[in-house]
Amino acid sequence: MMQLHINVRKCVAAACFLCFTLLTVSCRRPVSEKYAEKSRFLMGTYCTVKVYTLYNPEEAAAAAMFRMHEVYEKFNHLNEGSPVYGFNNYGYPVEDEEVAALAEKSGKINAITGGAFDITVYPLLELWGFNNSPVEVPPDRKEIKKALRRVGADKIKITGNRIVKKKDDVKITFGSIAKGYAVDEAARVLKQKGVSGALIDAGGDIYVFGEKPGGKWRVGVRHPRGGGISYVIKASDAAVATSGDYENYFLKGGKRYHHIFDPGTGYPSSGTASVTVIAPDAMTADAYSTAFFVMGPEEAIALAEKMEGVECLIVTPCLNEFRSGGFNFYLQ
Amino acid sequence: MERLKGTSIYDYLVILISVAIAAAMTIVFFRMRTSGAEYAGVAVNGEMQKELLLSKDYLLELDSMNIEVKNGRIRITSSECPRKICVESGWISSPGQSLICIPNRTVVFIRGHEKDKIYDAVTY
Repeated sequence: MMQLHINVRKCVAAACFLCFTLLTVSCRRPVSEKYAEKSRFLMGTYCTVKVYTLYNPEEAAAAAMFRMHEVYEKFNHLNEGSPVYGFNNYGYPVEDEEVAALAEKSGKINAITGGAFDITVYPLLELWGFNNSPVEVPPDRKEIKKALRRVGADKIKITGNRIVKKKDDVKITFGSIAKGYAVDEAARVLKQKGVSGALIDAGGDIYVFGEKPGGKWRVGVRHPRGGGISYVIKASDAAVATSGDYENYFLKGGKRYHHIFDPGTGYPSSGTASVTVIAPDAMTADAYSTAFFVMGPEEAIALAEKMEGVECLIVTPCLNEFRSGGFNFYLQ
Repeated sequence: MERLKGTSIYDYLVILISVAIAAAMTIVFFRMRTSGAEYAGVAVNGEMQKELLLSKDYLLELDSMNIEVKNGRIRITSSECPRKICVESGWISSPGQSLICIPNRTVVFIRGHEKDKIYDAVTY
C-alpha cells in the first residue's frame, strides 16, 4: 500500500505554487485588470481606442468612441446639422460654447504662429479640391488671389459663445484641430471612468496616458516617403500628431500639390514633407503639426524650443531632418 | 540510489509526477507567449471577411480591391479608391501592422502576440 509522508505533500504544494507563479509572473499589472480595444471608421479616418482598466473596459472604450463621434458631428463642416455648416453656407452665427472655445484657441495659435495656423483657409480647400470634391488641377493665380481675400483670422469675430462673419464669404474649417480636440475629449471620458492606461488613435492623432503591460506606449512615426516607420516614440501622458504631404495630394506636371496651405500665399506649403509634434495634449499636437509645417523647419524649431512640453521632428522633401532639443528623449 | 530515511518508492513517484506537471505547464506557458505573426485578417466595415495564413501565398479578390500574400507578407495590390494610399503603403508582415483603405472601409491587419508588436499605433 502506498504511503505518503509529509515532505512529499510539501513537494506537491511547491510544484503547484511554481505553476501558479509562472502563470502570473510576467504581468506587471494586477491580474484583475482587463483590456478592451475598439476600432471604427470615424471622423473620415480610422480610429482605435485601447483601454486597460479594472472595471468594464468595453464600456469605457465605447464611451470614448461615442464622445469622439459627438465632437466630430459638431465640428464637421460637411455635416448639415453642424453649426459650422450653417455658418459657412448660410451665414448663421455660431452660438455654441464648445465651438466658440475652440475657435478662440485657434485664434491664439494663429497669433502665436504669425498666421501659419488659420481656420479660415476653407476657401482655399474648396478651390484646390480638398473639400471632398477632387479637382486635381491647380487653379490659376487670379482664382487663388480671389480666394485669399476670403482668408484671414480678422474676418471672423468671436465674442463669448458666438462667432460671426465680418466678411460675408468667409468660411471656416476645424480640420486641423478638431480631431486632436476629439481625442482629448475621449481621454477625459476614459479618465473620468477610472481607466488607468489607454491609447486613443484618431487616424494618426494619438494620445496615451498611463502605461500598458510591459511599460510605456510605443508610437511609430511614419516615414514621409515609402510608407515604413522611421522612429518609435515611447511615451505615457503625451500626445503625438503628424502633418504630412503624402496622404492627401495630387500630382500634376511632376509636382506634388497637397492639402496643407500657406494662408499667406494661397498655395500648398513647400519645404516640408512631414512634421511630427509631441505635446501635452492632442489638440496642441494636432494644431501645431499643421502650423510648423507651414512655418518651415527653422521658424518651427525656434518656436517649439520656447513651448513647454512641445517637441517636434521635421522632415523636408529631400529627407533632411530637424529636431527640437528634447525630441530624442522620446525615442527608443 | 540510497533512499532517504522514511520515504518509499511511491514518494519518489509522486515527486517525479509533480515536477513533470510543473515542467509541462511551464513549456506550454512559454510556447503560448512566443507565437509570432502567422495570420492576417481582412475586415470590411468592421466585419471580418477573411483570415489568411501568411505562410501560404494567396491572391484575394474583394469587390473593390485585390490583396496578395507572398513570402510571409501581405499587401493591397490594387484598389478602386481615388488616391491609392493603401496600395502605396506596400507590404506588411509584423504583428500590429495594418493597411487601411478609408474610402473602401477596409482594414488588413497582422495578428500576433502583444510582445511581438513593434509599436502600438502609428502617427502619419
